[in-house]
Amino acid sequence: MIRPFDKHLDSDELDRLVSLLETSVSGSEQLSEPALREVQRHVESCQDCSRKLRKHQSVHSEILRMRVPSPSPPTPKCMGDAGWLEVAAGLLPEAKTRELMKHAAQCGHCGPLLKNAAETLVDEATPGEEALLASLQSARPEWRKNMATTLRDSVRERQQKKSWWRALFVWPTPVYAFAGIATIAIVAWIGVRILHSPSAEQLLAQAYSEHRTLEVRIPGARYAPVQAQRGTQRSDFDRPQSLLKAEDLIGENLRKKPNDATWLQARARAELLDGNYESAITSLQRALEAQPDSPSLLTDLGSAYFVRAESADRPIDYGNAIESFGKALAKSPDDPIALFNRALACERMFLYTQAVDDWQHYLRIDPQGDWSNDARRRLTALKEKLQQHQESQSEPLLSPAEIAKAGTNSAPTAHKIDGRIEDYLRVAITDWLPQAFPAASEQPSIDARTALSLLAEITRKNHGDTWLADLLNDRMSRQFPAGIKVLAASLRANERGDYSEGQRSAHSAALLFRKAANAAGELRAQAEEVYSDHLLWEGPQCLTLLNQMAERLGHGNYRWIDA
Amino acid sequence: MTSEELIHACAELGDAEAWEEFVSRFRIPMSLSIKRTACQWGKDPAQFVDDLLQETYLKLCADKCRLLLEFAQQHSDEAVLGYIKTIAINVAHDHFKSLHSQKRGAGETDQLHEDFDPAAQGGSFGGPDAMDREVFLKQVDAQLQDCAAGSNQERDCLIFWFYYLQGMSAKAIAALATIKLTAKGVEAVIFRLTRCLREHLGNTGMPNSAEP
Repeated sequence: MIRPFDKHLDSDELDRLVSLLETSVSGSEQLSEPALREVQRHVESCQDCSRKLRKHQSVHSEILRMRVPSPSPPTPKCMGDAGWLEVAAGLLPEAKTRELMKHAAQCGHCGPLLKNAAETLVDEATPGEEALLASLQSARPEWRKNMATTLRDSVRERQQKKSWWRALFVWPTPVYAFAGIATIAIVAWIGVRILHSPSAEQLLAQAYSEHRTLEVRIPGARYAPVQAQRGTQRSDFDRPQSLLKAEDLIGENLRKKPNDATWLQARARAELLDGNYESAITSLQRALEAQPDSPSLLTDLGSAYFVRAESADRPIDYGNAIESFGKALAKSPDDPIALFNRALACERMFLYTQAVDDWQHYLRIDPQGDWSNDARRRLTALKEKLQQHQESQSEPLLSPAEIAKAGTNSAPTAHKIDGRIEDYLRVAITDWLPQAFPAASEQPSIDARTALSLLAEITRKNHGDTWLADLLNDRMSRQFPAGIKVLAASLRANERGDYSEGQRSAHSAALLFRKAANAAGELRAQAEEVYSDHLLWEGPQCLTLLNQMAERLGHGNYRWIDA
Repeated sequence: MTSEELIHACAELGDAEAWEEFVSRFRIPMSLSIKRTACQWGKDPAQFVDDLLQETYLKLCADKCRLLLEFAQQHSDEAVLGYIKTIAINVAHDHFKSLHSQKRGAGETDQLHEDFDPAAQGGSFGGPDAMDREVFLKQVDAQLQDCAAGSNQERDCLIFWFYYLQGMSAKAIAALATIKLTAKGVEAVIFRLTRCLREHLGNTGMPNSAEP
């Protein structure tokens, strides 16, 4: 079909021809190839359409060339690098987000930062990303199940008492329990004697008990107190004879059978006793390739992770340890070593409720003996800790009115305040100080002033910190109430995660306190600004401020700010 | 179940099924965020995602999920997802930052981008090209206000600038929480505004246009 000469280009056809310049965004209906050729023939023969097309193409090229040069140096209006993630995720107040986005749209420094943040947040995965995610451990149902259990236990503190009693009732009668324990013990003993190389295992257990350096247990070892180890490496002369013998035996057997899971496990235990947790993990992972479901190997792997967490200060390994012990216990629910060791790991992760459950479970399996005495001691200490924590946390902080009513000489009140001194210092800044020193038009709270005086006295007397006393001494300036108000706003902003606002308020507060010649206030505001800087990833700014503060802090007794 | 209901069921009721749903619902967005952050640091994500994912879950659920629950009570599901992804990204950045500083040794600080003096670009500030560009940008901006007129004027203008000035993809623009459009929606806005601008500027001419 021939296009009539007087049929000029319509908008869609023009779009299609212009968009040949750029293919990523094209909202017009795609023209078929014959239709496109027809349109192009028309343009070649029609001067009006040809001129129109050239104009549109020219404008479009200019639009495409508008892109800002980047990276550009920052301008005074630019904000720190880290805040853009919060902007992209919509975590800041709407008006603030709008203002920052307008700036980023035009800025060669902030625009790329926002672009980078937005690209990280995109929900849609590329095929490559999908493949990677599918290959991870976390894609497996058992990983997710374990994670869910760990998380549930971590927040189950409130139901602790209920679950504790329920667990007691659910447990079989003592007779069955005893019979079960005896059977397990006999079977385990026979199993150990028959299936494993008794001498290596015995030697390792003996070495553990002769010079116990690990808090986690290994099977067969008698109880012994943990001995502090000096230095990371021991001389051969300091090592138990039984360990040296075990290592000879293990080496000899591994030369014959390098991939034997039993001997790899024995080597891993010897490595753990020597403090070589990395080698132990490698050996156990190799052994697990041959026996992936072995509870004993999984328990030892958990122990190795625990030791690495302790030695290398890697808290994440406590999580790995718990996961590994959990797998072992899924196969062998009453394994005393896995229960004992998991209870230790849970304590380190502050999973106190789960730790209590594990200790109680352990004590049902192993009710008597040195190990059970140790478990009982730990359980009692843990329950006390939980009790104290619950009591102190459940009580609200004393109000200024209550403190004033009790009087500044009340020893129980002072004791209560001192028990949660950091909480009180915080509430003093956010609430009491603004109430005690409000704007000129408002009435100051006498109770708040009384409470502040007592708190200042406690921090000075009991902790040698004169910050609050100094702050209150230099309060006569007109800028003081404004500084107090803005400092309180800064703490609140940081607490709700609005670190940009926290930073700005802290900076304003520092300036106001400087004008008020209140060094204590200025230092506290700067400390808050450092905190915001740190969370906004503004490292250099943070360090500069810290250096300034360090010089001034050297002259005062501001322990909390120092910390 | 909304995010708030789900987090409440986990934190307050200890519901085992809710916990499994919690882990499943947020695993992929969190993993993707961590994976992309690892790539930004030039690390192999396969080695890090599982560990950092676990660390993020633990962080989110610290103190009985208090902060997360409070956030969920005051915000929409989309915002909760953004919050969770942000935590995951921050956990990953913290981890790699710590690795990086350990590698370089304590006491050193990162070199700032600010210290970097970028090579002069074509059309740098002050040159004739830059002045033409400024004039053109003003012309586009004025016209854009007309083209985007309506209740979403501000949003639509931002989309246009992000796309053409910052080179952001439609997907990335749609990932900005305040835009509240899908990638297709963003593309439609860009198309509409671009066509409108071309029509107007094509008819009125441009500062450096060679056309008669």
